[in-house]
Amino acid sequence: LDFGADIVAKLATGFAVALTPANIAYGFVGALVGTAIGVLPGLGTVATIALLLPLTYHLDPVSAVIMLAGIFYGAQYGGSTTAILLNIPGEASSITTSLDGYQMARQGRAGAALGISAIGSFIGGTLGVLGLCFVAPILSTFALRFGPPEYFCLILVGLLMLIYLSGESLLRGALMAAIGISLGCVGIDPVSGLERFTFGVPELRDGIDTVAVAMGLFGISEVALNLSKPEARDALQSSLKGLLPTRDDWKLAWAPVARGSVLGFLAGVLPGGGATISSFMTYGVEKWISKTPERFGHGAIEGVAAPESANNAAATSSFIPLMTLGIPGNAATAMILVALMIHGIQPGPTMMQDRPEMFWGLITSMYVGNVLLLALNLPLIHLWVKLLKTPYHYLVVLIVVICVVGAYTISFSAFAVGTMVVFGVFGYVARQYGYPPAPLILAMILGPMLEKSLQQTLIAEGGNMRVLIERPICLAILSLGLLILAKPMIGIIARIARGQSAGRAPPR
Amino acid sequence: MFGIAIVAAAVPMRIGTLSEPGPGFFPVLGGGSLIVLAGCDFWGRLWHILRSPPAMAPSEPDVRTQAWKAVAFFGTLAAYVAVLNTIGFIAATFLLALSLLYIANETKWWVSLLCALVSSLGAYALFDRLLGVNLAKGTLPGLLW
Repeated sequence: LDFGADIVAKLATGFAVALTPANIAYGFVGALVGTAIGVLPGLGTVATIALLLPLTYHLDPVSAVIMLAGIFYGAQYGGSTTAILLNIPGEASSITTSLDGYQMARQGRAGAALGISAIGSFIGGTLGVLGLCFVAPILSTFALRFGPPEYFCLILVGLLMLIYLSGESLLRGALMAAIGISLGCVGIDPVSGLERFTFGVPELRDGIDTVAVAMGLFGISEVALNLSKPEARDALQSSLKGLLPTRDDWKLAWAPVARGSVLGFLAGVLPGGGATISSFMTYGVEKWISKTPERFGHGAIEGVAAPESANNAAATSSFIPLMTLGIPGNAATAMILVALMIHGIQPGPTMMQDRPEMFWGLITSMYVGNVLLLALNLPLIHLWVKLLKTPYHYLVVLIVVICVVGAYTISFSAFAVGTMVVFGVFGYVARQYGYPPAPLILAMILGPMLEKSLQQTLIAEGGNMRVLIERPICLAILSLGLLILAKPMIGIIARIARGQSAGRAPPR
Repeated sequence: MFGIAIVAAAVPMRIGTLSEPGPGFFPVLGGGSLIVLAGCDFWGRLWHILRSPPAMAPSEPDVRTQAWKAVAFFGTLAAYVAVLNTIGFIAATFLLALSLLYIANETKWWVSLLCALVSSLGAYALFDRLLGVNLAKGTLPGLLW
């Protein structure tokens, strides 16, 4: 009971911060601009946060965080809009939404699909925030027991999980992560203070800027891909009617929304691709338990309601490892971490005690972001549809100009713009050949943390690595990681064995 | 190659020992992993190419793509980076937008001109004047912005 009352008191503190007129305005602008950029074909949450991050540079930390929460939610929602209207998922977590959402749109029910997507996202996000309020303080207290070996294990397992979930090939994901880790070594060594890989370039002393890299990898490379592969976009021609789901729609959708929210929350806490895995998982569950599974893929409203609730609940619960341990679980929360660090905020187990206004302000800003988004998106859906009908060559100019201004403002020099262009080329080539960019950006951010915790562990234990299996929390984390990775590893080994035996078989 | 370069550059930094890792320790680990993984990937791709006809390779880029547009796009951006500090934000962004519209097949010259003008002046007004972001002013005489 005391715990509940304590949470309510802290939430009140958070709301006092989040509900000032200025902060509501920043949240509103964040949600609006986040949705507008997220709606643009191919630009997902990571790209949107990277592009819009410079808008928050001139704000005070609390307002910046509130605006970022709006951008985060806006970008998530924007991605679903393109999935439903154009069959172009903004990111992997919207793929399942496009399966039935686009079919609904083709059947003239785009309004209902967008409506249930907005309402489902709102419910999933709100339940996610409620869960976050109760789970984060408990985990935060527990995390105070963590030392460098535990952090090392957590970061390692998180990275492995993301590699596993980021694409079709485990090897290519790992390769991109290794590149990210190597790039994360550029700059001044945190222990010895020596410069590494700076080649006398002063701009590299603080390391390669992650925001410029993310803009290049996700934003610029996406534009280049769209320019070089012009696809006929089947833009929605029918009018949008009946945005609010009907009574019959609700009868079908309420249970998937509830199940999606719970499953999404649980999946989001896991390191890796929370929102993506949760949307696939819930879609599979709904199809499995449905009495009419044949409707899925042909415009079933449950196929939109469940994954949309799940990915928003997961997006919210993915903040739990970030806020309680200071470790981002996916590329989107990694960008949020970068944003927080730019504003001088270091999330982690002590954040709740040291910066309560920030901790609870961030949580309550998520509530505010959710409400603003629902209030904003239902009436503005027509505007987003018009934006989607804009010829792509005008959007190219808009996206690129935002990118160059954003990159320039990182250090007020052309160097960051150049970095963005270099990683744009790299991202373009990598994506053409099926190398996923998300592990690179996450490894680049986690690399220095991994190095620091490894060095501290090795120095404290005199080089004894057995500590990683002797400490119970380390052992539990590593076992969990091994358990999760065992199945795909066995699959890969079996495939290799089968391939080799087939290769050795006589051709005739 | 990248992995080898990292390891080669990290070794002189002092790798240290397990109980006292030096600044080169972690980069060697990262670079070493990169070499191993790139080797496996190269071997896997080679194995795949040798065993299946090239046309069936799933990860080959689409040959029908208009790759020249991507090359022109990156070339334009590289040129933008080169001239930004000299001619300033407005002029550089105007030229950038004009080039992008040409690459993206905008056929009406006056539309391109208008769009480039609106985007460069609009971005300058929004970010520099309204939000107080100091955009590049340019060093050429006669260019105030």
